Amino acid sequence: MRKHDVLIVGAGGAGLRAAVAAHESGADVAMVTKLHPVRSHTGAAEGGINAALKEEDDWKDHAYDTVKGSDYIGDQDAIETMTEEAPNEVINLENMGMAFSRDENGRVSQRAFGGLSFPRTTYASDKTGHMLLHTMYEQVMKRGVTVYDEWHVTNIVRDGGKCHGVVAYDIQTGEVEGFAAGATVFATGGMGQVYEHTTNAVSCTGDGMSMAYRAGVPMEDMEFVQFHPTTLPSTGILITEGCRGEGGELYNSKGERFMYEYGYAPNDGELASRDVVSRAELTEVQEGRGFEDDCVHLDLTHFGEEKIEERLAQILELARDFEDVDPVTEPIPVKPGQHYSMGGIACNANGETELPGMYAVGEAACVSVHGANRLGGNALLELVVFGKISGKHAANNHLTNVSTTAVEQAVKDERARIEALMDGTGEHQSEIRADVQEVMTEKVNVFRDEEGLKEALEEIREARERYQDVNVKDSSRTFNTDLTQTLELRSIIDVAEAVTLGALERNESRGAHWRYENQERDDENWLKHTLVYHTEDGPEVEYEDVEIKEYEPKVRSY
Amino acid sequence: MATTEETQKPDAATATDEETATLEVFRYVPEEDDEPYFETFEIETFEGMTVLDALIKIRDEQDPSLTIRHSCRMARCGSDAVYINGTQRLACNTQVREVGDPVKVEPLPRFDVIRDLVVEMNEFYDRMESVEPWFQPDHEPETGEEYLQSPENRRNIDTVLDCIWCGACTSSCSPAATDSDFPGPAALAKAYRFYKDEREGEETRKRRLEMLESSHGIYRCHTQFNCTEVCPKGISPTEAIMEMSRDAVKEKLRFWR
Repeated sequence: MRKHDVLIVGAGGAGLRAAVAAHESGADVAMVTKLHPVRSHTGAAEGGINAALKEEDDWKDHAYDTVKGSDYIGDQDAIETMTEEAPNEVINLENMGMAFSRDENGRVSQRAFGGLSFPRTTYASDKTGHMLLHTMYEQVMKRGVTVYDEWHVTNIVRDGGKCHGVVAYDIQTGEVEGFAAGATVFATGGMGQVYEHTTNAVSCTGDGMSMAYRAGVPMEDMEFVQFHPTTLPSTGILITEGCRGEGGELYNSKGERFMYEYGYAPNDGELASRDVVSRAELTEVQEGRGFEDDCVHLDLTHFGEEKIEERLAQILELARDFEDVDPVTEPIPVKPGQHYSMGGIACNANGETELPGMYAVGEAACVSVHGANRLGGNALLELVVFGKISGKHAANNHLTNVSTTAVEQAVKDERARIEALMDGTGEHQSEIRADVQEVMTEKVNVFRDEEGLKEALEEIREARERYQDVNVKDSSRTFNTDLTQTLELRSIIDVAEAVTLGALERNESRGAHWRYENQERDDENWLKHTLVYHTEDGPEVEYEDVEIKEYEPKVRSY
Repeated sequence: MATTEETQKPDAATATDEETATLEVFRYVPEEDDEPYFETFEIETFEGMTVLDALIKIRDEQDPSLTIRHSCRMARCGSDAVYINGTQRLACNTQVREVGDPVKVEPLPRFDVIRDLVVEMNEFYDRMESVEPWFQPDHEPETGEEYLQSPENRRNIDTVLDCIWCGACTSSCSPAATDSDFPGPAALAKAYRFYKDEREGEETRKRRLEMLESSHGIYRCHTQFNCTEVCPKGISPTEAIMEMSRDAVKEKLRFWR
């Protein structure tokens, strides 16, 4: 058994920032990740990180933009914390060596992004996440923080109403071991693999959300799933919002800039918030003005090669390599794809969950700062601001009476579960997984209706039945990805069920969640957070008030 | 543990038509196989299919025990560097139809094999860490202020900053294979990223150069450009190493003058 004051699960941007903060607070901290830190999906973030750095800008404007973007369901106290801390944290990243793009005066560059009233998205070409991830890992190496890489955490040790650490499976050797910790911080990232068409890595399977849920901590606001308006049709690979921030234009098959022409966003056009643009694109397609494969066109050809190479170099590479399109001379076909989970493990602005000793941060968490729709450039910001806060809080408040007996017992239970899983004789995980991903993409997408959601819920519950006898065909103990994918499939099913149930219950349209039966926002009945709890008899839904401070809900238009 | 150099080359398979491809995949499970071997799979291809797509298709439809590291599938996480028809490449951005038929897929040469296409990366990570790859400015910043950096200086390091730690270059490097204390191309390119960053300052620059100049350092490079040829991100570690070597010689001359 390993033992640490603070254990960080997941080593992307949020986890690494939390580890540095915990280390600086003097705690014995270690990280455990199913990948290696530099493989984490933070590296795929492209556009940038928001902060009111300029004199002409004000963090309160950033706060308001975020509240409006969230369609008024983000918690305003947490949003204020994030936006007020943003300039410090972005400068801190620079001071740690992060290679931001530079303006002529040698200062960090900023550009326009969707839903923002000021060009405050600080960027490093179109590789901001890559630069952030590597900078943070450099800081972890520098401090000599222990990293257990390629250890797949499978369970939270809960005993006497507290969290005592986790159980993890060593991917390289097949050993199951306990990690006792006075504070465990879940920074396990998103859940895009619940969907077929997603910008997310195959490792984004919602493991942390599912483990928390099974340990009695609710998943919050899971129905709010962001569909990014510009993903490549064949692979789901992300084409950054920075393209539109730099002046990229969206066209339908009639050659019209539909965001303006059809009144979807008469003021902001392509730079409306993501939920608005995604719905507009699919409406164009449904009304017969799309291109092949349900796409619209993103045109950058007026930029010239030099500008694209300097500011959007990765987009050139991705469009050429993965879609066989050259953005310098032709428009890029794009369509909405699953991108981000606004929902996650319910926690407060310190990252604390209902379970003492357990924290959540980053995309895995729901603080909630994004509400019903996240603004571009606010995800990387959330990672560093709340990564720091939760890491520090965990270091200063970790439990001292950790029960190693409870950890040992949990290890035994988990070994037995995995042994049993290896004996299954039913269907293979790839079949069940594909069915869940397909039904989610078909029925729990941008446009949702009651009938479709009910059908999806039924199919997800069937998938859970089929999973009872799932067949792991690979019997090896060494790097058994068949087994790890089977473990991940249970997370996918848990998360898919919470998303669909939340969406079915919420009979209104708000941010990224749109319902055919009620296409308007309904503040009277639905200005509240959804909490999905795990029970023996299936999920149970409860609701919680939204924290409203300065900004009263009003009509949202771009 | 086996290394890929112990394996034998199979006979070339016959060419197939456009709709299918033949993959010859290196297989090795330590607790089951005495020796590594190649297994042949026939698959239907589609327009735009990558080698990673092909391997996943085999895994999902024919043999769930086939093992490869992969995550982002967009050439960013650096997990899936393998050896495809004799060249180090990322499986996820290599088109099946562009590399010829059959497609022979092996683990990275000169890395220990854990299983199938998965190699031991720890030695590579140790090499990376050996160059102290973290920002070491001469002076503390003023509170709340960023260090200034000219756009030109930032541009100079743009390419090397793109390194994804995939290991392709280090696998291609013969000096790295024979000298485990030589950091190798990826680590030296990472060192160059800091060495050239004007924000660190002159003291750190000199110290970095002294560190890299040691007997196992930059002069070990044979300037064969293998690393440059295989880098999936278009980085040229060779040129970075050559520039640092020239600077080191200049510093020496200045000292003796």
